[in-house]
Amino acid sequence: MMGMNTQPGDALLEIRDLRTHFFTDDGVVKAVDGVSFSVPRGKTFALVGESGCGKSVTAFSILRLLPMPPARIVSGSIHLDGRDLLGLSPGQMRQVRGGQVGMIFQEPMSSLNPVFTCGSQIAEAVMLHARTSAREARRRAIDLLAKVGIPEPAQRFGEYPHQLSGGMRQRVMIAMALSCSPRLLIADEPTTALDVTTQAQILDLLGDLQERENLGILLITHDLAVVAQTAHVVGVMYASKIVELTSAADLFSRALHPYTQGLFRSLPRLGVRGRRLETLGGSVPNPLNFPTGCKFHPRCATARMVARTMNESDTVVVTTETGPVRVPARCASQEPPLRQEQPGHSVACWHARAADQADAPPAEEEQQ
Amino acid sequence: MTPGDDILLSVRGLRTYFPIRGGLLGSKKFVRAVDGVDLDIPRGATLGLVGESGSGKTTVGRSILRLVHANAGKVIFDGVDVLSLAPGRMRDMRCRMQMIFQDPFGSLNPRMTVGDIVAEPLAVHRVVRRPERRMRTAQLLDRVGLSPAYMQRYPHEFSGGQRQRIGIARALAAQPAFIICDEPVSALDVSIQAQILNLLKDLQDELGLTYLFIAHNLAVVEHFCDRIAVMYLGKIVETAPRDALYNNPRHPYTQALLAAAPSCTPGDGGGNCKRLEGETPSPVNPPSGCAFHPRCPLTRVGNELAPLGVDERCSKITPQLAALADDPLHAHSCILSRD
Repeated sequence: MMGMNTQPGDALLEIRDLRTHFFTDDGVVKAVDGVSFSVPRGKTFALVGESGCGKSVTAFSILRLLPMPPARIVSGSIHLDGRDLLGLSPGQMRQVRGGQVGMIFQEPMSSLNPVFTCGSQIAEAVMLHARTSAREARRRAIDLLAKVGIPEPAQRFGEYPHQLSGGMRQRVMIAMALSCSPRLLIADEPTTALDVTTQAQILDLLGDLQERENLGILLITHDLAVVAQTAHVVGVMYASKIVELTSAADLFSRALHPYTQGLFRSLPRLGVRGRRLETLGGSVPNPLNFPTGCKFHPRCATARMVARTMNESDTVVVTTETGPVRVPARCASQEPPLRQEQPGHSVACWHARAADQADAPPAEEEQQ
Repeated sequence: MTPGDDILLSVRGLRTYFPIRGGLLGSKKFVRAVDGVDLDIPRGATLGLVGESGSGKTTVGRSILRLVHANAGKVIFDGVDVLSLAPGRMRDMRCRMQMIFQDPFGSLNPRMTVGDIVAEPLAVHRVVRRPERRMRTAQLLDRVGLSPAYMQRYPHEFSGGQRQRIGIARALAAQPAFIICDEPVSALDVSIQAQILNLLKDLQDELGLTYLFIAHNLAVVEHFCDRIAVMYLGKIVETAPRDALYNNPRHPYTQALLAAAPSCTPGDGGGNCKRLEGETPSPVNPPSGCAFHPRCPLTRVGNELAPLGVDERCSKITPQLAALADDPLHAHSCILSRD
């Protein structure tokens, strides 16, 4: 249960009630709407969710990399090592980016400048933050390339990004992110564009670096298997909010939110063959037009199951993409808060206990 | 594949090379994308073609449909040699062989309505007469789980999963017997992935379709395919029925691939298992002998015959696929793991 019940100030990164909204011509898109979590020192916190759930906007909000306008951080606080990042001037923020916080992105090709050599891009970062001579920066860059496992680093220093493979480019990105010995590394889908064997190499590398440098990592991903391999603490995001927050071990052995459970059941797994996959019906809701109450209720199997056991007066019929369904009235009208259901395990669901018992797939879906 | 099986598609010795500009003297070089591939797919079955990027798996699919020109080999579809057909005959053949693409954003014409996209194969292949086209389009959309009311809309109005459904409806319009699914779910979210895989399975059961399923996600392939072929640098290194491949992988590359696939059990597979080192070499200049030998753990570890780090046989002899003695359906090309 590492880092779950830490005191404020003890965590490396502490985010409280973050709300990042986009003010567009079509209306206000509440991309992040009341997200709180903390990244412990030297551990990995994974923010997992499907596209459009707000996980990347959360990461970009931390470094204020969003175009403002249309984006605006409406409320909340972001503390790094006890310092409020939202109160910093743009100049101070530039020192934080690439200084205390390093970042790596999904697309290593488009994050590197194609007209400069890989080495000079790393050296540039070193010179900007550490104010060293060019010669010293070059030496440090070569050390960094060696540290991230690039063979013949002195030679690779002079190569251009297009001369490297995807895995090598991601290593260069990691070297750049580590150039100023950050405390926190934000990794936004770091292995999504890579092959499995390369993905395994990069995840191993991140694990080694974390251990050696006591690096806190905020991992943004949609891949539950990557979460299982690397994360200590996990927040599951759905429709701009964290709906489940717990340790990785807990999440994979006993997910409590119906959405998380549905994700697990819809996942083809190694070792499981031929069984028909269960699906979460419908699709992720449009952020301009979120459902009322619990945003997951139109797709929620637990809500339907619970409604069958209730008095009809306590339920309502709602229209969904897949037809009308009866759900508990509270699910359709009140948004559930993220609250502790078990020690160190928080869930935003009115019926988390029913969901816990229901975590066996319904019988009619098991045929075939 | 037992001899009695009804083979719908049979590929023999397929080679597809792409010419590139050569070095200083302008000598011609080739990217050997597909370098001697044999496949057999029984009617109604699903063959999974797995490999990392650059292994040539997509080029195999495109060569079968003659979307790229194959340099050598035979593709026999239902008794007809596809590669030697005249262009006009090939067009007729394509209504029996269709393709679903990976990118649901790039594979639909943004200026055509969904109705026109799905109706186009109906017109090209003269599947139904003009007055019936609208009704058939509506039926097809309904079959893939989309409301026929969407016919007048444009692709940008749909989510990734819905676009993939449109792509499937378009492939079905020609009434094919065989569909090449090129990474059909890798661009989709997890919850949508399951919907599309189930849809493809239902369509197969209902219409008796045969699939060539090209993918890199080993869990998806294990779930979906009857038989699997693993590709590395343009060649198939192992092929077997699903259970045999996953329970008893024989080629060191297959073993490494399975070991690298992250599982959903926390702490499992972290750190202890051996990682494949290095990267896939260039298909312009593949290593001699077994193309996998520079990265192969087997040729180096515990082998006294290899003082230089590599067994001579691996770097000199080009290995051929050979079936296991006790399982004629399970073949691999590693000389060192022969029993």
